[in-house]
Amino acid sequence: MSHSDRWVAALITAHRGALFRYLARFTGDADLAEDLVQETCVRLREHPPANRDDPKRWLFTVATNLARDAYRIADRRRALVEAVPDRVPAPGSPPDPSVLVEGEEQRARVRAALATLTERDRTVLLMREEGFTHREIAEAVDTTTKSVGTMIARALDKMARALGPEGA
Amino acid sequence: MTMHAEDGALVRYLDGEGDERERSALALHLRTCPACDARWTTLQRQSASVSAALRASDAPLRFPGPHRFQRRLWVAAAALIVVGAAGAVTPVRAWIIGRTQALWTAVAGAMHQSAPASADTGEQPLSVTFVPSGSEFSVEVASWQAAGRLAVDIVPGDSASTVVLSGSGVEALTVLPATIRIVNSATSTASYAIHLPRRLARVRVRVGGEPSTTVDLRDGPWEVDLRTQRSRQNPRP
Repeated sequence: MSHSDRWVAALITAHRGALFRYLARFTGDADLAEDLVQETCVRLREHPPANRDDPKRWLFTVATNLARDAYRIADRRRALVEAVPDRVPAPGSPPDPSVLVEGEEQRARVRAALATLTERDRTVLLMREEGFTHREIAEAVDTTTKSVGTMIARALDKMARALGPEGA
Repeated sequence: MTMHAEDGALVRYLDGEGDERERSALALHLRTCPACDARWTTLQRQSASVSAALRASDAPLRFPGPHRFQRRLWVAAAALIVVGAAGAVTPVRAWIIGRTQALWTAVAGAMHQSAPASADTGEQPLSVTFVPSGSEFSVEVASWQAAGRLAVDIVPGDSASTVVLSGSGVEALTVLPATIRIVNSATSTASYAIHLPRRLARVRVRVGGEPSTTVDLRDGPWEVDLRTQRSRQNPRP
């Protein structure tokens, strides 16, 4: 194995869990998240960053861009599927709560709450959950570091309202 | 410090961000402003509750462990591929097509560490299933080999599959929207079976740097000996 391959393998091993968690939260679809993790890893391998100082941020930036594309595709797909009810549900679409069991209800509620956020606010909130600094988040969403705090507060308010007493 | 602290400043304080001067001023202000102190308490509580809710609803990590990761095929596309001896493309994903770059690259043994297992050992052979786009398809094999065969045939359905049946020396299988690329070498001894949907019965096959050959699989399954370079097509009954 080349030095570069070892570096890629070590990076993936270190961050794949967090990547999956972030992408599953972002897209609301664990299957899609798994595929996006894979695609992020392939991108890392085929087009590694020139600057290796902050590989975690590079991984999450690439993953976020992939997730945004996938989420928008899923949105269009959802509109298509809703027009033809007998199709398989699109990834990320909230299931009917009336047929969910406990645990699944919780996941559905959180997914629905995250869906109330703008794409940008969702990115900010979820990157914060992964331990990124405000500066790193600002660079990822192309805003100022000072704005990130305000965006987080807005996202927390929305999530709290959407989750009800659970999020208060 | 303005009359009341902005939410952004409170969140920076919560997250340990901001410079020391801002943090000290805010700490002092919170001691003297009940409204801001209440808002600070709310943000703390919301932050903790939202984090807890996210953690409680997280899907279990499904990425394979290290020993299986080394045999896992990497997927580049947003879900076209399911790997395995009997994989099938789920209909939810089948519509995501049209990528122009490599959809995925399957690396035998990951990181080139080991060749795929022989079918004789009972281990699962290297295989991929995918849904090709468009109306044309190409099979590209990087090199003639020391041994092995390539067999191509059509099957019912929309899915295509490529299986490394036996032998060794396959570095990767790369799936593009209208191409399967087998990355091998002159010392490879692997044999491959490619199954394509009927709509892609006319397939271009190219091995090494040779000009491609167009095969019409409606006439029957086609195979080529990767050592002798002799090909044949068995007529369908």
